[in-house]
Amino acid sequence: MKKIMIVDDSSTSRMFVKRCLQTVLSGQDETEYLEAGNGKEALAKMKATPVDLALIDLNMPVMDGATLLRWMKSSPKLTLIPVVVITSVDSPANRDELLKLGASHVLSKPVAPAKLMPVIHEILDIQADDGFGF
Amino acid sequence: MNVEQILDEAVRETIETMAFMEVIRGDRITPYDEHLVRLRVEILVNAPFPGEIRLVLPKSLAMVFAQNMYSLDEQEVTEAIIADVLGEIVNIIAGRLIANILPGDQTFQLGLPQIGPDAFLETEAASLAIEFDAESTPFWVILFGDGFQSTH
Repeated sequence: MKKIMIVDDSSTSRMFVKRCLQTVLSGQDETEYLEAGNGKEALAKMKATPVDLALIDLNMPVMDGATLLRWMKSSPKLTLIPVVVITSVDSPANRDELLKLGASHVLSKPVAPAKLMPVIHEILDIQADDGFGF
Repeated sequence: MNVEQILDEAVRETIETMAFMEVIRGDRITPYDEHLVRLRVEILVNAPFPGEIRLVLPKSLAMVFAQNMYSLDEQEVTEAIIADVLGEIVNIIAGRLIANILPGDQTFQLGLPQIGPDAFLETEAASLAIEFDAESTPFWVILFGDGFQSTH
């Protein structure tokens, strides 16, 4: 079973992303969705439960998305998890910074299945080729 | 495009995508109605210039946004859901607006949305207020800050 972490302080945004993922992944094997309202909560959950993909927002209280990304990429346990940043703070300069921090993709809100699908399919294909279990 | 056109696009795309409602730009400001219960949600622009983006709307419209986005009946919509929905809407509008008025090599930062009641549609000299209409209900977006004026 695939496990996907969705990190956003907005429950509305988490709901939207999850709906999009469910659309994109319909027909695939069952997927479990984990949710967190900030980076600190997400870190704790991902250390307790290995996930295959994380979709994170940037602007969050307690621990923002950029800090979460830094923590993940410096953790041997979490560094290989692909991270897709889904944010309202999207500009070419912001995007470059996030990719340098280790994000695999950056998408701007509002996210829609058509935007998400090629990204998810690319990540899944990469992982399938490497035998990550999808 | 000027800032009004960029804002128009940001507002329409955000609400049409998230709340499934058609939005059109108003050509005037509807006179203030003291009996209308309104909500106000605002988000600060922290960088590269100080500013604020404020969304003011009738509570009834906020309720419809929440119902549409969550597929809920009116009685199922809580204040917390409304607050979260409006926060996310203004967050996305702000992001799309700022991203499209700044040069591509410039980063920007937004604050966290703050929501509360709106007793009066406040405007200041250095503000830009635009009325929109979502299925015959007006709502307003007000931009504060010189950074918006310079691109107006």
